[in-house]
Amino acid sequence: MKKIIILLSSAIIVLLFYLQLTTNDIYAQQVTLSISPPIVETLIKPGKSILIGYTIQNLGDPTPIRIQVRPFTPQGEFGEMTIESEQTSPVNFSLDNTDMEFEKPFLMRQKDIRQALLRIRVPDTIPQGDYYFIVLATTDPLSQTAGGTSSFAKATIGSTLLMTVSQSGFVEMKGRIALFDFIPSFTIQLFGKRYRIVESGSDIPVRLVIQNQGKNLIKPHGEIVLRGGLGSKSAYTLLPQNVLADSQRLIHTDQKKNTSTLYTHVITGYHLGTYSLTTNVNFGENSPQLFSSTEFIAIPIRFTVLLSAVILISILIVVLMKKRKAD
Amino acid sequence: MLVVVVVTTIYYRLTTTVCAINMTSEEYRIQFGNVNMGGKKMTDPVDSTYSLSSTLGQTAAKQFESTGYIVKAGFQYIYSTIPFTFSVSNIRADLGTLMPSTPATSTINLTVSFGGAGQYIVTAAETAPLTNFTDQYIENTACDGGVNTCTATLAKTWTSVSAYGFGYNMQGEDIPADFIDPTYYRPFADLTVPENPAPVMQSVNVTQNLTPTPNPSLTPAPALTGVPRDITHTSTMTFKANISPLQSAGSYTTVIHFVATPSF
Repeated sequence: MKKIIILLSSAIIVLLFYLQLTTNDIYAQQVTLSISPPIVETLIKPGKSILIGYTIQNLGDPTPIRIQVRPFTPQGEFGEMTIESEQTSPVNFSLDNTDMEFEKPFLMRQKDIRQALLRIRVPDTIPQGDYYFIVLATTDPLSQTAGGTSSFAKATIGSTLLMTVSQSGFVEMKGRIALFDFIPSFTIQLFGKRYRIVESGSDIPVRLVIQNQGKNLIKPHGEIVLRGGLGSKSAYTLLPQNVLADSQRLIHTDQKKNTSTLYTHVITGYHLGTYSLTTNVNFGENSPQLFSSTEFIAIPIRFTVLLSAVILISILIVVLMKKRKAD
Repeated sequence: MLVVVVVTTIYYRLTTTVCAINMTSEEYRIQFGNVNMGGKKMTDPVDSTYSLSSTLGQTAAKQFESTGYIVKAGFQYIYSTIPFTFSVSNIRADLGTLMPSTPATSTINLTVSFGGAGQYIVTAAETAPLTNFTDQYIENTACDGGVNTCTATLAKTWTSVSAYGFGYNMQGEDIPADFIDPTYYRPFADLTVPENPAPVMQSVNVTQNLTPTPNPSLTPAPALTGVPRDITHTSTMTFKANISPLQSAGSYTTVIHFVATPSF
């Protein structure tokens, strides 16, 4: 009996040891990274060198971080970008920090703040034009040896670096209005003319797309103006968002309620009658003023349909009642 | 009289404000953006946003001639001291031991914080499909198939237990419109194909409330009213895996690469 108890105890101890050794500790490890400044724009002569400090803060758990610089190209018209997998640009980058190198991970403890001193050298022979980069801070994913099926996360935070290389300081401001339009409730064709109708109380989403036909980024300045038939006027200021070289972008106004990436501005309120919607855009001093306009008619369609239905039914009831009385 | 003049001069000399903007030495020059002293407060009662005065024109031209460069850090039309911050609540989404025709799910939260109003994008892509040690992998989901066939950029319903694969759903703020409800899924963009990472969060106004409400007043009041301004936007990503009875047993893993960038 004593032997059995000893054997059983030994087996339990061995089992406990085994379980202790093979148990995977699972932590809800969090990644929280911040980077500042979020964007840097520079106009620079060939042959010059500048230094920019990027502050990176780890507000999550301790994690290894890698610093990288990659070129990017704008994609679509909503400010999206395609980041290259390699640094292939003729612009030279290095880190002036003694304890930090590109591509090599360094540990950032919780609440650590580090400044990456990015040295940018523009070669003498570089062609003039725009060069777009993104400075990236990337975490290293956990060792993928945990038991069970898992998806591990690798987080990267970036800051855009827009560089215009110019010998003289002059930049090419060549843009056009690619699209200025709104979404009507419906369109009707009457006597060879097209009328765009808007429901009186409904929101009117407006889209303004600027195309950059030059070699340097441009910033549109201007406004969208809504004029009503009774002399009413509302103006909405455009945000000077960057439109990168050889790309186009949907520009937003300073309207705070509009969180949609799809629309420049959403006109709200009750409208009745004929309205004209115009935009004036320029790209800075000595650039031409661009203009575009469109029109719409605001009608209380739902109210009109409802009223017509009520009148028709009322007439029908009156006619039926008269007919019954006559019978 | 002379004493008064001397004392006044010393006082003003000692109390003169020093405004440090750039740090320079023989070795380096660091330019700081968002110079707070240059900010101009707008008369906006909603969220008291600020705007910076522009540095264009002759000043910039002179600066360019003398030094050979002009650097502008931070968005020139936004005042903010809140840095761009991105957070992943858990770097491991544990799907446990997968059982055939029994979908397993796990969630993580993605959070973005950005001062003022600024556009940002968070993209996601898998470095490879869910793979085990013998290089067998779980296919990316096509959702329920037929008219409900999803792609890396279009979510469709995935409710059938006989539809196998690995994918994700997004709920919360700033998510793509095709995630209509929690039954809508997409496969991750596969970097081995290679496919372009797909946006999973995107907004033009990061720290604005979707329904703006006034900040609590700083002046003492009987009771503070309104909701403090929202400075973060959060979404929830749900990972889902469902395997067929023919799928080999084992631990499958992958790495999802999230890239958060403020737009230009």
